[in-house]
Amino acid sequence: MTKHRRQKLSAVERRSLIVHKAIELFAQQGFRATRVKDIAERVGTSDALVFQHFPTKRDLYDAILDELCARRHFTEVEQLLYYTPEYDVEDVLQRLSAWLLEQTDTEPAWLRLILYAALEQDDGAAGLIEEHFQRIIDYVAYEVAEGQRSGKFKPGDAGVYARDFFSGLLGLSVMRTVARDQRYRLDSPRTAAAVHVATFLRGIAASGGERN
Amino acid sequence: MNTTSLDCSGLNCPLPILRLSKAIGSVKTGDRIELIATDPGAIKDVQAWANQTGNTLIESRQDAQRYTFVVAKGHQ
Repeated sequence: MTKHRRQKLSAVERRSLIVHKAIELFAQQGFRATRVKDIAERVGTSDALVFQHFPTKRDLYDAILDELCARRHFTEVEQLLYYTPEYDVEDVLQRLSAWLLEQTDTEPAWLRLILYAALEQDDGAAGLIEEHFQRIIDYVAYEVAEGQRSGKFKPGDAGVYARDFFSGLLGLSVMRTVARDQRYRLDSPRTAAAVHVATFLRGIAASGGERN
Repeated sequence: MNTTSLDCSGLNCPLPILRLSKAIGSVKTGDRIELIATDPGAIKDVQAWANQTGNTLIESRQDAQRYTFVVAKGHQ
């Protein structure tokens, strides 16, 4: 018979465990149906200890987004933007897009969390997710506006272009996850991202859009 | 020595740094840029950016949700 010994976790390990179990529960049953008590039970700890690590639900949502690599990855993209003076916009957009597709392909919990946040109209979860997305949309709008100033892109509302870009990308990630048509998943995230970005850039190119 | 003001209130990172990077390119060595930002992410980003790009963060202060950074072009 195996003798089970209760491992003593460090504060960092316990915090990480709480986040992992919260992701599991939120993705399985939604934000509303999940109580702190459920998370504590799954972790094998007390409600008080969960509150000690995450005083508010917002703190927990924040940690979940961090855990899902959202911000961490964006930091990698920021490195490229900040320290490569002549960075290639298409390359940056492809990296961002490939990340989102990889995220939803490999971590179904991520998409479920987004959908639960929308369906339940949970202001905290939806707000945080939108805030994160908005960061990406604002960045795309900035590049579009810069491209318009230099004559590279056609005139128009850069914010509308950026939201269309992001909505199309999120729609693609949903279809890759839920559609039964296998053709949605034929391309790797990187290839699908490259096609999405190229189509977008061609559509807003100053000299593009005309039919031969 | 000139100081240029750059108000990036309401902009999320990476935009304040992208604007700062662009602004620093258009001033002379020793000139300063006073950047105002509201995204808390700017705190670590401005410091790291200055270190990595050979510019100098002269001053950094916070007033409620408003962050002010004074950056000088080049090493001081």
